[in-house]
This record gives sequence, structure tokens and C-alpha cells, in this order.
Amino acid sequence: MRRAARIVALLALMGTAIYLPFRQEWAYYRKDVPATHTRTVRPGRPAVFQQIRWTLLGYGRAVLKPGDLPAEGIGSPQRPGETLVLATLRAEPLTKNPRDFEIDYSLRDRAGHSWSAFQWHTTIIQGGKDPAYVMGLVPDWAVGTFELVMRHQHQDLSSALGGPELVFRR
Amino acid sequence: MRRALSALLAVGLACAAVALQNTHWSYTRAYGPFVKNGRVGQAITEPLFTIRVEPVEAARTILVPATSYSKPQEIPANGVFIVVIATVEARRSPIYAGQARLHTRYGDYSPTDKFGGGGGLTTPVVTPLSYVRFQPGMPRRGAYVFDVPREAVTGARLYVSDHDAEEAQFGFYRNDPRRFADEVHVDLGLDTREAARLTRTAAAGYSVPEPS
Repeated sequence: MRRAARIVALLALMGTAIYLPFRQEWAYYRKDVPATHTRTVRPGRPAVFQQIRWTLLGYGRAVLKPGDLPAEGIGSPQRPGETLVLATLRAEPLTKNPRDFEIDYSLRDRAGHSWSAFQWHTTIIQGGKDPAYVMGLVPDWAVGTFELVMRHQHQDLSSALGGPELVFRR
Repeated sequence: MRRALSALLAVGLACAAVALQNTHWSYTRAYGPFVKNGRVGQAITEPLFTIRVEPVEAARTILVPATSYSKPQEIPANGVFIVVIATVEARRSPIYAGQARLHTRYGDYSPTDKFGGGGGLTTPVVTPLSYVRFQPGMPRRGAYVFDVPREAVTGARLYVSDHDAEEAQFGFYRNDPRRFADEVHVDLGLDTREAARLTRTAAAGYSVPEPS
């Protein structure tokens, strides 16, 4: 009995040893590599990401004025059952030198769905008073549950793989 | 007796090890694409997306509507345009279903490039589904359009993969568009009689629906 258990354990160990490296590679190909470190921040609390101090001011629906366009990257027109949403943040750069930001924005709910998001009408300069906006298009059922996520953008602008992420809680 | 059994076991294990050297998964089984089969009208669900394909249509010419810069024009097919209208929805995160192919007995055909948009340098005059980024909870209905010889229509099947080649130009192995992808193979119901009917009644001036 004991010997059989040992053999089964050995086989299970071998299977796991073979499977694990393959699983990791598979995850990479499918761009499903989760963040290696997740930080969450409550609304109104500041958090630093890419040398900018971000403070979430609020989540809401986006209102486009006549002639205004949604963020580049969001297809238009939006269909029934879909809503343009906005995360409004205060962004304070911590360095004086102008630089390009390489942030991969997305919106997620806690059920595991995610949607693309993009900066909108935002210029981040030191001493600037205007808020920063991140816009996304989500189905109506996600309007009250989505949260903004920031990750470092991959060099080829494709989805972020691993790395840290910052989640702005509701 | 016990020693003989141990020796026998050792020899057996050695033989098994040698045999296992020659036993391995095929490339496709190990690296994909991982295929799920379906048919027209059926919702086919993959881990990352769901697709439902409508009955196939055919066209001799496709009407491209006027834009701010050009007049309306009719684009003729070299053979016949096979228009596959499908509704695609991402299940979890944004994806492209950009790797669509029409699998025929003559080989695989990519969506036609007659509408422009090649290499991502221009915007196509008609937006095929290959250009659409699908997101959860927001299904899109649109068309994949193929230009194929009339003789290739019989038995043609639609292959759609969730692995996009457009965004994966750099990095370790990322140029291989089909590796580790999930792929749907849809039987379009094009037997000899249906293929003959389709090519015989192919429309002129067909308007390809924009993703909606």
C-alpha cells in the first residue's frame, strides 16, 4: 500500500515537473501573464506609478460634448448596451523632465473581465491643475463595477506581460 | 528470488524509458492550434471568445460606398467573393480574431486584401472582422471576405484563431501567429450542390456589412 502511494506520488511529481514549464510558456504566448506584484489603492489615496503620483478622484460615465470624440482607440459609434466610462485622476509628476509615459491602462471587474482603456484629453505637466482622464467602453452591466488598472506597457504596445500593476479600488 | 525480481524491474524500467524516448506528442497536439469544430448557426465557445457564423453568401462584385475622398466603386472578384458573416464576442479580455482563413481543397485563403488596410498602413474601405478588437460583453457582427476560385468553394471551411499576428511582431516566439492559439473550424455546409448554387447566384454590387 505504502509502496503504491510512493509510486503514485512519484508519477504525480513527474507529471507536474513536465507540465509546469509548459504551462508558463503557454501563458506567455496567450498574453495571460498575470502581474508579478499587485498594489491596490483606495479612492482619494495617492499612489506612485512611473514617477507620477496618481490620486483617483472618481469613476463615472463619460459625457461627450457636441463635436467631441472618444479617446483614440475606442471604436465609434457605441452600440446599445454599451457605455463610455471615465476614471478621473489627479496626476502629479515627480520629475521635472518631460518624458513619454508607457502605461498600459485597462478596466477590470472583480469577475475577471477586462476592457481596453486610453488616456483622454490629458496633459500631465508639473504644476498642472487639470485632472487626468482615462476612458473606456464597457457593457452596461460593468458600469458600476469596473476599476482602473495600470501596468507597464510592453515595448511593442501589446498587452503587458507580468510586471507590477496598480489597481484603483472603488 | 527478490534479487531476480529487482533486476527484472530495472530492465523493464530501462525498456520503458527507451520506449518513451520515441513516444511524444505531435507538434500540433503540444503547441496547437487547439481546434474546436462547429457548424453554421452554432455558437462555438473557446476559452477567450465565442463565435457564431451565419449562412455563407457569395458575390461577384462588392460595392464600396463613397467616402470623403473617393466615389463609390465596385470591386470585382478574381474568382468569387465568399462572404462569411459572423458574430464574435470576447469572453474575458480584449482579443483580435484576426487569423481567419478559408480552408479549401486547394489550400488556405486569407481574407481578401482588395479593401486596403494591408500592413496596418491604411484604413480598409470596408472593415472586416479581422480588424476588430473584441471585448467582453460587447459582441460584434461583421464579415470575413475571401476571394477564391469558384472550384474551391465546395467543402470550404472557415478557420478562425484568437491569436493575432498584427500585434505580436517582436519578442520571443511571438511572430508565430498560430502557436498556442485556440482555433475554431466551422463547417460552412458547402457541399457540391450548395457550392454550385452559391457561385451561380453570386450577387453583383454586394454591400459588406460594417461591424455592428
